[in-house]
Amino acid sequence: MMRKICRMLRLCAWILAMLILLVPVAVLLAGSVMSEMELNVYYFANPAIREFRLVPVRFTASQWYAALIENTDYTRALLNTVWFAAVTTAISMLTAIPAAYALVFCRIPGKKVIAAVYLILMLLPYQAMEMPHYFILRDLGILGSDWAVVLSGAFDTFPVMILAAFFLTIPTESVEAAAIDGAGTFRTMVHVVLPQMRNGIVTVMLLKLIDIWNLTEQAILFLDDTSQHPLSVMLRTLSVKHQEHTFAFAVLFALPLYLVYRMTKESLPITVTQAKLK
Amino acid sequence: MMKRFSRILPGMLLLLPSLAGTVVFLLLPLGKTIAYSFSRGLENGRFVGLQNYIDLSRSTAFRLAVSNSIRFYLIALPLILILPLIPALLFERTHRLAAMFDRAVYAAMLLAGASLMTFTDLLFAPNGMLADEAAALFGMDAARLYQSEFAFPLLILLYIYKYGGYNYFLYAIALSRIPRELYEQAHLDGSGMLQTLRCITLPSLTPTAALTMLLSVLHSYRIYREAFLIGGYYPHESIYLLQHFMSNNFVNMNYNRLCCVSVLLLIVVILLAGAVIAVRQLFWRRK
Repeated sequence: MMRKICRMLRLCAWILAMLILLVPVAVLLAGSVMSEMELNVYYFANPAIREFRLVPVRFTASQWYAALIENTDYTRALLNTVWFAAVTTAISMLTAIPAAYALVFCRIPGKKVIAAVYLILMLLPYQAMEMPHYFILRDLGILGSDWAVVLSGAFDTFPVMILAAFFLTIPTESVEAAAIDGAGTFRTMVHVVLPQMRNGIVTVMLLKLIDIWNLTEQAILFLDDTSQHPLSVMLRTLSVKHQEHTFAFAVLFALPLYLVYRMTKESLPITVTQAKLK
Repeated sequence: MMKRFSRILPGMLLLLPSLAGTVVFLLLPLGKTIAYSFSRGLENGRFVGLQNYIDLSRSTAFRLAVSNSIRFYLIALPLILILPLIPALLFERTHRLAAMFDRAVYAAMLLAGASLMTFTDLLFAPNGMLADEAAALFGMDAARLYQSEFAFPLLILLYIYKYGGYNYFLYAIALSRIPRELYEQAHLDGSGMLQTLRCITLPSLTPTAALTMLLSVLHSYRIYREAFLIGGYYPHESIYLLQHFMSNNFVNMNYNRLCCVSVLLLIVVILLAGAVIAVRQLFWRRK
């Protein structure tokens, strides 16, 4: 009896938690295939005559058409986001992976000092780096260009520290064995260590990507022209301007992140239930 | 000598790109920032000692930003550490429920900040679905909800919704790694649910709690993004954060003052990092 009550309570908690998590997603998705007329009745009308309804009576792709093709402001901002995210993540990962490997497996003079400096830089809020970034970007003469945003985000030490934590879980024997077999440092890294670390690398990459996808501060401070701004900054303005397309605008902004997650899902260590079923 | 050099060469080469980027884009300009915090003006600045710091400490906007940040941490950090633990504990042993819940958490985590704000606008913007109810609750004008006391709880809500998922996954992984035998043994010994929770589950979660704490603090640096979407450049005073102070001073070109903020933050972080390392060493020695 007691058990049954417990199970019922747990199920109720589950339903409640699922609703909290999924209602925003469901509302945005359903709204993105509604016509302007229906949106007006369900969401934007005066509260007195408004009648909420989640699922549209008639499905239409007009909002998606507007977001993807018709509205060039939106498409440009989305492309800016993709560009910033791709380049910054690429530079960040290409420098962080070898650095983390070197910090864990190689002989380096002053390793402890370097690790401590990286740790402090990781903990340092973005707000503290704002003036330093401004100085270096100004001195390099790239203030106001896309590279100002890319370079101020690419050398954040968070990926190095997290990757190093992942690398620490590899038994050093496998690295030593490769060295005894005559493999050089680079070959050991590429052929022995990185394949084992696929999951860790994918996770860190996804975290970095999500971070850059939502970047706000750097764009506001270092870019001159709103045509350079990423969607994370522009979405609100565009949504207010084109209220009838708000829903598709929001969904399409989050969609690429979701697709990347789908593609890399197998490698993410956090599919908890998978781990349990094994 | 040559041999020693050839031994450290590969490691140095691997580290070089990251180290060069860190030195050029972070360390050198940070040094410049420290120097500028003691002068008035930049390149041809005049040394003024601690005058900038004294001015900064007298600024009411700065004080407001600092006290708001502290208030945010005191309320939001305990919430984001404890709330995700509840579903992790509840759904841990129910595979099918947990699998679906995981997917929902992912969906929520990936709902990019600005998209989530679109949903928030549907609820609370002027004429929003819940604007009247929320306004009644807080005794505010429904048309100016974002510019009222309501902004602060909303900011905390968005922070937990966006970043609580990471903590949930960390807790869930840690829970799945506790050996089942421990629970079975405890059950045979006749310990109740609360006792196993206190003696087995929670102690096993301590290292993870440290990690979630770190991650939550790092995420809290990003909360300006949500605050900016709620209130723009000049939000309600309850969510006026350090980043607002900095952006506004940046526009007014009060660069020396901003350099002081950087240095103060650097000092806070170094003290914190030192404390963390000291505590960890204390633990290691006891083991």
